Amino acid sequence: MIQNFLTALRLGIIGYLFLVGLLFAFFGFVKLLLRIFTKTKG
Amino acid sequence: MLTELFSGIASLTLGNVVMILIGLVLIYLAIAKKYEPALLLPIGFGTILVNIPLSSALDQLLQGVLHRGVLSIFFDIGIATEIFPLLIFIAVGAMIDFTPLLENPVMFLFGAAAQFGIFGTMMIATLLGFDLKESASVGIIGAADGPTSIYVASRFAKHMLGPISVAAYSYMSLVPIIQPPVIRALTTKKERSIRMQPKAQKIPRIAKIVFPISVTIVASILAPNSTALIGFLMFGNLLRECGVLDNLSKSAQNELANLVTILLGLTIASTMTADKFLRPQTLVILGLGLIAFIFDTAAGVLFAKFLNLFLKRKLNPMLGAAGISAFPMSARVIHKMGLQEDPMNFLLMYAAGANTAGQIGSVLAGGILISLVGGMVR
Repeated sequence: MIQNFLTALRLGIIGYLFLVGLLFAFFGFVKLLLRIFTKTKG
Repeated sequence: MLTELFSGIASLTLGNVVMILIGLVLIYLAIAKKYEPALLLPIGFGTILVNIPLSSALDQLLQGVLHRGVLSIFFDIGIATEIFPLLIFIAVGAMIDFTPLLENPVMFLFGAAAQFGIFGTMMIATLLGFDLKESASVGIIGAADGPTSIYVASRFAKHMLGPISVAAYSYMSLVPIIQPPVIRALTTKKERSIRMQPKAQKIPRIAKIVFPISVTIVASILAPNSTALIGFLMFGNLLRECGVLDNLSKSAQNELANLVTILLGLTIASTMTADKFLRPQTLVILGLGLIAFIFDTAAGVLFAKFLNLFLKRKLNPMLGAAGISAFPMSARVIHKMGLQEDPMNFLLMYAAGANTAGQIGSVLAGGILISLVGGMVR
């Protein structure tokens, strides 16, 4: 049980940080996307 | 002869009776309380169907011969293959308007933060005796997203699909009851009254078209196990935004959504048999599901407060709670709470942005869990 918990703890931290990083990347990506298309349009 | 005619009554067990009552309760909640009726009603009715003794809706072994039941067949072709939840994702994608998210891309961060309940609950579940795959399946209730929960649970813990689905859909409908006390406990009245600065930015159509395509490519490359989930979701959205397939978009939003929802609900019920559902484990799963929703809400709010430490123009921290994927319920709750504090504080569009980010976040979280846990336990 403790072994499972430690594994879950490790996977949980890695998974959550990966997810936050991924969506942070999307945040930057969308800003870039909008900048490109708004400029193109303007 | 008579024995055969009355074999149903003779085989009736207390477990069957209890499960039939549970089915009736689910139908009651769906009709009288309007708790996710589209899912809870088929699940409730299906629960009755599969708990009739010797029910022909399920596979039966009679005199050594296997007689296939329709719900077992649906399960094999729709859930075991993951087709039903994926089809639902096309419908969900076609229903979602990502414009509020594109107008406020910072809401992406809330869509990630508010998925903490998934991972936090997974850790707690291991302490309660669930193995890693079961824990991941329980944790995914915190995705606040029925199809993702079903998708992950069908891969990792088919035997727990019934309680996980019931928990996921019940708590989604209970968001207006679960979220407000957690938000109030973590915020001050002043914070809840923060007004958001309106943006005049108009999102060009091309950006709305490029968005689902690029998200699919980027997310799939970074988290390949989420490809089917995010791909079907974004395909549905592309149908909506492309502007040349209105009929398909409407079909996805209506006919496809309705048809698959009926089949999904009835099929999930095939796992709601007394021997699988009437276990102490079910109560633990329901309890952990609630914890997952509370964790999600708290993490979203706390993350927003953390961001505010670095921002000149503060964000309303309640928006963090809308980062869970219970769309559009959670956005409405946050909007209503904002109005309660300040009748001129309109948070709906921002909350909808966070909510749609939560939809993307929950799907990605499902894919990440499948990668991590699937890779760990083979």
